[in-house]
Amino acid sequence: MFKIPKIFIPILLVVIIFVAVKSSSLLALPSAEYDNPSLTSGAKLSGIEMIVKGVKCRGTSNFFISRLKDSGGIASIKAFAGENRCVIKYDPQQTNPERIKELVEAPYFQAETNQWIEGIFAVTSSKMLQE
Amino acid sequence: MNNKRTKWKITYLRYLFQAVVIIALVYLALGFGRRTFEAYCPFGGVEALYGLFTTGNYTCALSEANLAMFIGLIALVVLSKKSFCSWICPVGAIGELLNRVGFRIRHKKQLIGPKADRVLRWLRYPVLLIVLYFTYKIEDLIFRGYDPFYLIFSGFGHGSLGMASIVIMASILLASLLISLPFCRYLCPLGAIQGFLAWVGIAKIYRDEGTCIDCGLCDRACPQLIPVSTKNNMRHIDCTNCLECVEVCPVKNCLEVKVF
Repeated sequence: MFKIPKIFIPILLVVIIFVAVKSSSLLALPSAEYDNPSLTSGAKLSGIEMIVKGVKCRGTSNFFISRLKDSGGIASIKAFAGENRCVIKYDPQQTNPERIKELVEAPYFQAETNQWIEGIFAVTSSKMLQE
Repeated sequence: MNNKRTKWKITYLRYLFQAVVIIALVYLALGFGRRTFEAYCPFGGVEALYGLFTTGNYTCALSEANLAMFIGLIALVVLSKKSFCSWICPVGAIGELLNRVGFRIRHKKQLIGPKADRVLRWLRYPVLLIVLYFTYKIEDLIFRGYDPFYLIFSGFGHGSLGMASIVIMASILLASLLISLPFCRYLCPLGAIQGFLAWVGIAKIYRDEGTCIDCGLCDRACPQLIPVSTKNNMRHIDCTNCLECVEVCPVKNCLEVKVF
């Protein structure tokens, strides 16, 4: 049993919190995902990673996927709600990043209220993924 | 006698930690930053466990950040007891602030006796079990409506229970004026989880019985109401290593932080 300086406690706190925050990406799992088997096998695919404001839980992740999956040319979608991050693989012969962004940000018709709802999702940044 | 420089270093450093955390959480709650404030709650890591094992996904708005914070918290408890509660947790910081105000209002009296206090501390365990049972069963964050952390920083946002949440929050705030840290000591499910490991706490405060003058200042300074002057070491599961007792002790080296 030996004495330690009191400053040891705040230093330990800072180190542990820093390591936890920095290493959290190692534990990342998609909050929702979609695969289109007819496209994921064989076709040459491109990928885009988008930060989407509005993808904040499993429910909104599923909704995000439902908005894109039937639009044609989408091979797979992975939504990571914790970081508002979405990774989309697509067939460049059938769609493109501009079209995907348009679909994400388009207003949708809410049947319960009989109204068009705008601004559910907003793409704040995006980058193309290297094959 | 302790010199004033040490008091400045540690007590004020702890207040600084608490202030920085609250400012950072407000910043995130206002929509700045990549993650929401909720992502940094370690209790979210516990709530996420069932979903991870059963479906391989994070429940609702939980994410890898919650799990990483929870793993970090476990490491912290083993190394330094519940120091997260007194140095980082904003609910603890707000509770402490209200307790300082209330301490003057109630003329320095404790309204709950030691026996009732010991019994009430057990309440955290059924709270933990109930919260986890319903979270895992419904696969939704049902504690949001009762959680002061969520209610404060979300501004009674999505998941709160309207008037019921307002009443719960008001009761906790009012109780914090009358009783020292009522939520932390009697209701906090994260405190209950830490309690299982806190007795290990490698770094803890030791009291030198030979030099202690039994002035009782340490007992009065402890926000967790631990009778420090009757113990040789703070193995107590609720010691948060806030170091308040060490700061007020008038005898040099009587209360010290030691490992093992």
